[in-house]
Amino acid sequence: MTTKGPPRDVRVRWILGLFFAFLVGIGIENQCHMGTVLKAYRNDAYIYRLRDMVWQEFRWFRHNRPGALDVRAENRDVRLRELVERLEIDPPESLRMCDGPVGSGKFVGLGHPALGAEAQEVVWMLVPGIPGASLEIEALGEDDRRQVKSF
Amino acid sequence: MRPSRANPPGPSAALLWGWWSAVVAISVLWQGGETPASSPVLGAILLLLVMPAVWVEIRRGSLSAFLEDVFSSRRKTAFFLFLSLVFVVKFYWIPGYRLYTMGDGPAHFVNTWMTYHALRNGEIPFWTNDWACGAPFLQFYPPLFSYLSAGLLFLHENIFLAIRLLLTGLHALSGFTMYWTVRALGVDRRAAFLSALVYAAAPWHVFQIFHSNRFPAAPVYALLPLLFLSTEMLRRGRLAAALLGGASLGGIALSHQGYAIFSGALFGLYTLIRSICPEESGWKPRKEYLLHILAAGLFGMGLGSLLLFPYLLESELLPYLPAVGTSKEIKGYIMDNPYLATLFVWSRRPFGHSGYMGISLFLGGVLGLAGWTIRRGRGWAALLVCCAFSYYLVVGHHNALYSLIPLVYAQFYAGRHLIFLVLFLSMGVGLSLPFLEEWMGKKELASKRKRSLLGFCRPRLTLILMGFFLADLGPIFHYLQVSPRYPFPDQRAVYARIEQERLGSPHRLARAVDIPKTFLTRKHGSLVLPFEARCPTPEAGQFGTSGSYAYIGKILKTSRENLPLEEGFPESFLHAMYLLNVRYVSTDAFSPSLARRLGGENFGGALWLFTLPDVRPVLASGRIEDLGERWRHPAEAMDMILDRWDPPDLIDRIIGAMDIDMKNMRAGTLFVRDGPVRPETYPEPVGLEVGQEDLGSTYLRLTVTAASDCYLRISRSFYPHQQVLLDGKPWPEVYRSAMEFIVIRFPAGRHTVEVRAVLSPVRKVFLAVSGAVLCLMLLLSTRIRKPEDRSRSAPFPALTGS
Repeated sequence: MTTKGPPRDVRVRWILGLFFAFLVGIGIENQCHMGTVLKAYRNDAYIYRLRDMVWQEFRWFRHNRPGALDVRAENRDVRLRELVERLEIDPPESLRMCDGPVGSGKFVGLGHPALGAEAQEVVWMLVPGIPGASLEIEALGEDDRRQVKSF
Repeated sequence: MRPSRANPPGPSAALLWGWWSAVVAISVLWQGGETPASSPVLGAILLLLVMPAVWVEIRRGSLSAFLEDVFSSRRKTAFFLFLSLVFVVKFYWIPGYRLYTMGDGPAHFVNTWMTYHALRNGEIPFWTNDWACGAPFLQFYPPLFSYLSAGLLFLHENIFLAIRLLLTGLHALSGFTMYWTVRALGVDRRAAFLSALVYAAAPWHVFQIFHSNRFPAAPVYALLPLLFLSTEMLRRGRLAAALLGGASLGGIALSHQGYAIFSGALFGLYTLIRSICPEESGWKPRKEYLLHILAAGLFGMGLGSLLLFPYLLESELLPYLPAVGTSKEIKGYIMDNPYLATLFVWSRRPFGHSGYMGISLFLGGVLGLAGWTIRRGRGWAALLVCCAFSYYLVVGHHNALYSLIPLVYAQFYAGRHLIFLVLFLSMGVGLSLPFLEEWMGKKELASKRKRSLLGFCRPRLTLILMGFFLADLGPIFHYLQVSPRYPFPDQRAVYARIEQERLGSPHRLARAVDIPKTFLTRKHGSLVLPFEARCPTPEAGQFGTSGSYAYIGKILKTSRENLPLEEGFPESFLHAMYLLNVRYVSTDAFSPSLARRLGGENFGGALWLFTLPDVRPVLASGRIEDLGERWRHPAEAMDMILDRWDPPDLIDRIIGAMDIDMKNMRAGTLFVRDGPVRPETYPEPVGLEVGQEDLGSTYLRLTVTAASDCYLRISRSFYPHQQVLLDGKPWPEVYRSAMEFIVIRFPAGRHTVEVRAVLSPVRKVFLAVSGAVLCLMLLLSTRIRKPEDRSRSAPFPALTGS
């Protein structure tokens, strides 16, 4: 094996210093975002479950299942609180609910407005969906509005 | 007594070999379920075995002396490495379906089976009739793993044994390739052994292959070190180096084309930096390194061209192809990117796919690379830069510059780049050994106790580091053994009954589908029909992105959602199943009383099998209608599954408008997407009969009789590279139906219709290119001269310089 020069010289120190500074810097930047992302993900997961429940209620209603909520796109009287109570799970603390009917009821908190987007402050509003389909809980203000409802 | 080469262990060496073999054998038997010992009992047994060894090591240094004796010989090192790797990779033999149920396992099992089946029948497996209603097979997905595992099936037809053997072999091989690569950097066998052990035992390596069932990545782990070894082999000869680099890169491309991109990039970066700062000749670029990048790149791309280039050129075909799909709009997964906490802190609830790397690997690797830099070891700058780049790929996903890296999101989530970080850190771990020994030798300590401790640890450094890394792996091994399996009902009895029915009936093409009540608990097996492959596993898995399977996926999803709400099989469901030629439906969606009323057969618990009547592979009509803009495809394939269609019940509307009469195999109208401006209209078809049904891997053949001219819809996916033959002659009047099936104009009379998949011209060209490159490489390999001096103990003596 060949080695070159004295084992510790200034150049090597600089190189190693840069290397470790790079590792530490990127690592800190990475870790600082984790808390934000976790919070956003927790909120996303709740919205996902709520949407899934709305879609399920819609199918149940279409199949005349007793007790199913009328969450058809045409029904503007449904309030956000009704959906939360039907889900029987309270929203996380980081997700603020502003109760109201379709068009004004909303959630506000950290989240991902769409697949692949950055975590940010998001407003999810209860809105009418596609005619013939169910109500939607949709993130506002982003170009890419595609969101996961159910698989 | 200090261990030394002057005082070899003598007879106790045999005892220690036996001891290590016993430890390996007991742990392998335990993990394979062949011993009844529980974890605490096993721990006690191993402790009883280990304690005496620790005692003799402290008193006499026997274990260290034994290792020194082992590492003095090439053969002994190889055997010891082999035993140690067996100890690491024993988890593949955990009994039951652990290898099958956590991630993508079902798909890879079925892929293997389909490849084997096709080859056994004398067909090249580039198409399958078993996924969805026919789909390209291993054309847009790397084929190497499937071919390797199918090859083992020819030796013994046991799919679990074949895949276990292959994964075990590849995992162990990865340890050897890492060993050779680190040796080529000029370190001794101990250091290379340590790198090999750490690479094989790296938690992410174990998790990615075994826990998440990403089998195609297994050859990548084995081949990746060889790519960098090829650069170090330049001293031996350019030809050998180029061939090794090309073969490795080509093999990686055929295992996982996404990894091939970054493997090639890192290889280029490594070799480029090696070219401009080689330790022995100053800071001048050396031409041979640049030529090596070119040669290895060309060989590698040439070898992998049968997959790489058609994938790029035919990617337009992807969005609506059944069983393929694309998620190009997904730019990194939401919550699956790694964070330092998830990489270094073990949790029994892993954070998505973000992966656990282990603090020992990171610290040891970084320390080793730093030490190698200080010592100006071979390739120090290249290793440092590549490690930093790999780290950035994994951890830098929130950095502003991250998105500037081309194709960085092609791997879905940043955790997938961990393979590269594991590679360089593992190298670093081995390189830490000479650095630490040197540092410990030079360290002057005032305290006598500290000096004694240092003197005790220095000769035992290899053992201490091995123990350190294996201890980090301990929780992983335990977790793999006890982690909850993905629950699924054993449906073998159902499949056996379906097979029995099919053999006894003329409806050989009739398909089966499993419709679970709850998607979340029965995700696998719900969407597609790979059971059709007759793969001898207890559950038919599904594979593909959420946008895969297009209309077929949407049909099945709607069925899955609605069936539990129905009191039976509604007409819309029956019509949908007819279009898919599904005759057999297994489901747990009905109550027992309802299932009995519907004529189902019970297979334990809530699982019932129903045989649907009047299902045929064809549907005839006197008229076709070009949909045009009336019901467009959703803008994105993903939107098919996300129910963001307009109207939302598009499938039901299309099926409803077809006016299907199942009993007479007729429809009022067939809707097509491509067709003549004014298609001819015929009278309502009568006298329709389907005679012989024949199905191969790449073809479907039917004998159909119709009393008058009509249009015939066949339950087969439309794909541009298929040929329709009528009575053996190419038939040009083929249409693409509204939901991506085949429609043809069918003349009156009795005819044999054959739909045969063909390779596209592009694929034929690149298959020839790959074949030519392979032949060239084999020819060139015969011209490599063997080294005259075989007396050196290293595998590449010209490189070690020691």
